[in-house]
Amino acid sequence: MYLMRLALQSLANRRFSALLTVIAIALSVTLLLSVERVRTEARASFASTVSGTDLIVGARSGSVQLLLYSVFRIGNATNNIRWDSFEQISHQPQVKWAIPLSLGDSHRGFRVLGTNQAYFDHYRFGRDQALTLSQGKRFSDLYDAVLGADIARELGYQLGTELVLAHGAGAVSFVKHADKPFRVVGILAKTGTPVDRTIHISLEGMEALHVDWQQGMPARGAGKISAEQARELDLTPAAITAFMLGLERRIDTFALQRQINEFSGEPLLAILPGVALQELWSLLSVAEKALLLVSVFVVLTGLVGMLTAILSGLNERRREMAVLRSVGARPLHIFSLLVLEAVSLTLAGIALGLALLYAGMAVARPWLEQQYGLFLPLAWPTRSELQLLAGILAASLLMGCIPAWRAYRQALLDGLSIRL
Amino acid sequence: MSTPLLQVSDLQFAWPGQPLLLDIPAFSLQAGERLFLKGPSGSGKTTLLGLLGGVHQPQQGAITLLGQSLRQLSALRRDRFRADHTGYLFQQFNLLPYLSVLDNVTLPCRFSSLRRERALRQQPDLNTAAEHLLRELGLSDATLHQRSAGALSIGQQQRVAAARALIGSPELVIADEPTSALDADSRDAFLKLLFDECAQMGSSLLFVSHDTSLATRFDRALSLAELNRASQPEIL
Repeated sequence: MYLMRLALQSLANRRFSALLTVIAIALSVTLLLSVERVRTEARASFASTVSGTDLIVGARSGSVQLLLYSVFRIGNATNNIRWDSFEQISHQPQVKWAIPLSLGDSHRGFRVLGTNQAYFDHYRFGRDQALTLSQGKRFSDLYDAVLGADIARELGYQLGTELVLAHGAGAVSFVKHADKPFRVVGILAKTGTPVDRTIHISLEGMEALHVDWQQGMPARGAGKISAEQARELDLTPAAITAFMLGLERRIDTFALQRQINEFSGEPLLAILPGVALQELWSLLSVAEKALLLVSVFVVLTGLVGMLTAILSGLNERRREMAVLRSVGARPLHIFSLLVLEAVSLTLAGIALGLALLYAGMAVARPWLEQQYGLFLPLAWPTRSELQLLAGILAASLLMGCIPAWRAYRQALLDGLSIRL
Repeated sequence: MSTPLLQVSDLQFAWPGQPLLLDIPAFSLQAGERLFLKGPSGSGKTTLLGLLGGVHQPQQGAITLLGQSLRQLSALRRDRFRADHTGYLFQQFNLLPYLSVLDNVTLPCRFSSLRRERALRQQPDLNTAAEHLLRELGLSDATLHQRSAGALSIGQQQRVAAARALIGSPELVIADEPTSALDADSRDAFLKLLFDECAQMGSSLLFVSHDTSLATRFDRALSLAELNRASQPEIL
């Protein structure tokens, strides 16, 4: 269409201000799409932190709290579960597998998880992905440790490295299990979940660390039991922190949940991880929605900037409009010309914004994945992203009508010639 | 005598809230005629030209172009009618600086299909038609045609504007002080070229200027002050 060509050539004539407008829109589009992408990806990776687990059981507290310490390794349990409760529940006929979890120790800020071989067999994350070892093997000896991928990378640990665990979850601890060092025998492949930041040892190893402890303090003098002496003892733990259950048939989930919640031995809480994840996400999603809202406003600011640029140029362009009128352009042509101008600027802004987004993602992807476990695929824009872009275009169309209307009125008043 | 190309009768016009500006009992222009209309600035000539182009509507009276009363047309049709039958030529700066010379000349054919048809009747395409006109008007340098209009001298720009007014052979060419920015020599040369082209195209020429020294070269000369019965403000 000839008007489109006119609009583009007129813009090219004012290329400096047009370029600035396009850049402002492009940056806002990039921001909006990045927020949308990170948001979607964060939600997806959050939801896939744990999968395949039907119930998580812990001492009675809140479901979000239980989820936080059992899956995300955040916070602490208020109470422990007796080992015989675990034994009793995990031998229920509905239960296919059970993973015991024992928490409470740490190593340089990373949590230590005491568990058993069932963890490697049955723990699932993402889309039903199992844990795999990138190096070495599972723990088998009492003092073997298997590291999550991030720990090995950040601390530079390799197979055979010896590490001393500390009591408590802080990054700095004054109470160390220096008498019973552990040896790295395996390093897990990257999962993008809290598993990457966890040190895995056997339940017996966890018990051995504390076997000579009394009233929460390490034994002194004669009461001390050495690493080798501990091997001779019965190291079945007295208590664990939580456990995960997989059922034979998922339909039994609710019945078993009720059964556990009414367990007579001690007060227990069983949660469905999917439901608790939803609950937790709905807490976090306020921030996520606020972020999206802010970036929508940034886009609006970009469009208002464009509006200002077009409007402030209108007066200088009265002669241009009069010339167009004198060669036969109707007021409606003038109107369309200005709307086309706004839409072209926005389209150019969107195109540049997309280019910036993909360029930025190509650069930041490895870093985001390493630092935050966020995997951003270099995919085509999703449907919701396209909807956002269509919304921006529609907004520019509406906004373009404002200068278009003014130019239309002006063209009617000015007629064919204008003396400035 | 045949029906005139343009006829104005009992025309009265005032801008909203202002005294009567134009009161013209009768005024006409014959087909192929070259008419000089003397009008100093502030005499209402720009308004008159707007009325003749159908951009404004008179409160009283009729303007008939090619037997068609402008009053009977809707605003949209008046715009179309003007684009089809009238070529405009203004004082200065009436090219779009960001378009090439050729694109400027062919502009009227983008908005009027009638003028496009007429231009294509003689030439295979619009650019050839524009080049032909520019050559006739003394701009034969083909490299000039591709340049942007803003880069031309004022004399050259006026010739480009003349070519634009003439492309597609409109029945009426309205020129509003097209020579006021030119020196005496180029003014005479420009007038001669304009006359020749209007004659070739068969267009009537309504030439408005304050410079009475040009009047003798036209078929007929009128003064807007004599035509207009509305009292004129002294100084504007």
